[in-house]
Amino acid sequence: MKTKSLDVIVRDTLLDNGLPLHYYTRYLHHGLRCLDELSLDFDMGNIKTVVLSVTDYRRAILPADFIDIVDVSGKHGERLLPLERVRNLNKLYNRDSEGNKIPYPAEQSVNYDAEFNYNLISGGATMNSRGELIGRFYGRQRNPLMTYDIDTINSELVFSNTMDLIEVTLTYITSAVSRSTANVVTPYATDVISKYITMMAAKAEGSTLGKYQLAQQDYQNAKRVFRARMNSMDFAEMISLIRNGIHGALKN
Amino acid sequence: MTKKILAEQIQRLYARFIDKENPSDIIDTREIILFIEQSLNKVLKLQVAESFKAGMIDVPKCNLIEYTAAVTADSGNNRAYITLPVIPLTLPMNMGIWSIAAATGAMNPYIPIPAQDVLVFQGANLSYLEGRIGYYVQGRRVYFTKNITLTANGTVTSVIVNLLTMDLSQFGDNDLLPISPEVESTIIADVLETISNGRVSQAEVASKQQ
Repeated sequence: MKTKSLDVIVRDTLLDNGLPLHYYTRYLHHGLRCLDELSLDFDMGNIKTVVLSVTDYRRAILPADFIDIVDVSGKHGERLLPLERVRNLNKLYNRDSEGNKIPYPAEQSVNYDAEFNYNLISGGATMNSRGELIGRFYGRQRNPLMTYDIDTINSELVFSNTMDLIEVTLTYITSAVSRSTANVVTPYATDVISKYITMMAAKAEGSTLGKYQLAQQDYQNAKRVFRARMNSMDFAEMISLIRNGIHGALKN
Repeated sequence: MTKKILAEQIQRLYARFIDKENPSDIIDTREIILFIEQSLNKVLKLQVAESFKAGMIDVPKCNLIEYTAAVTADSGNNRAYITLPVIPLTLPMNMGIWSIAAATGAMNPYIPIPAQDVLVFQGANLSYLEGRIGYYVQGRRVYFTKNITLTANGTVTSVIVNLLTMDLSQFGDNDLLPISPEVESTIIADVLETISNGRVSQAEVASKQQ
């Protein structure tokens, strides 16, 4: 993929403002701050996917560079089906009489396929072979049992006892800024980073309010364009959405 | 313009100032040459400061003097340094040191780092400098952020330093000075003002006596 290095963006901005190399580190600092901040909201190459092993006490250790969850999924054929996050799982360790970590007792056992079929795909025994719901729900409330939560104190994922997968696939956000290789970004981000640098430089140099506000407006406009480019929707996606909305109706 | 021509002109002007009718070489040219050297650096700094004030970051390129400096390793601190051959002008962002590059990498200069930032950015994302090597100034020494004498960092034993200064010691009395023509009259006026400060001309003395 075509990328643009932060080094080049900083040099471009220096050229824009007619400044020599002596301003490089200040500008690079602003550029790195901007990239770090953008990466929390946009995929700047900082969305990672890893497979984590589930311990016998129903936890998985988060990667060291983990910032936040995108999703935790179980493998189902060629697809990844996301597990559900519930906030009331007990984050304290449960230990046996010898102090070993053990899972909390399960509320009830669950059949793996049934859980996926019913709670994650909404189908299974309540549908016929053509995918039509056949009734007989009798007010049954959905009760997901393959759930997780995040234990931020111990940097672990906590799973419900009934989650019987031995591996989960974690997709997570990390920082886009590297301290061991030169940073590169999508060309879409070039302008927004450049404008951010100019805005912050104007602020740091004690420019007049008018000059700073102009720089700020430039940055906000560039960010709008960037956001639109990063979240573009093409014809194929629209068609796909319409097709997904066309399906069989309930038989009443 | 050479130092000698400038000095002689100042000498003549000064002599006429003392006694318009009988010019003489009453003041030693060696003294005037020292004044010229001092004045040139003063005028140079004023020139640069005025351009900065006008919002332009620019330096008079004809005053950039190129030196070659030997690199010494400071292995204990994983860095290297050079000793500046002369002290450059004190300008914002250390712009008196215009550029430093390896002898074989003139178009790929090292990154200047403001001395006050060096200790602050340790541990921050900026410290990596996108894989580049930077330098910062401490007194007469310029330190590089890596030991550039090592093979991994280019095995650099000497660097080319471009300094904004008027190191007139390297120019003989009859060598052409690297100054812009518009500076010459400013230098003459400045030196004359300095050496005639507090004095009165013979003509004035005579008129007062009458």
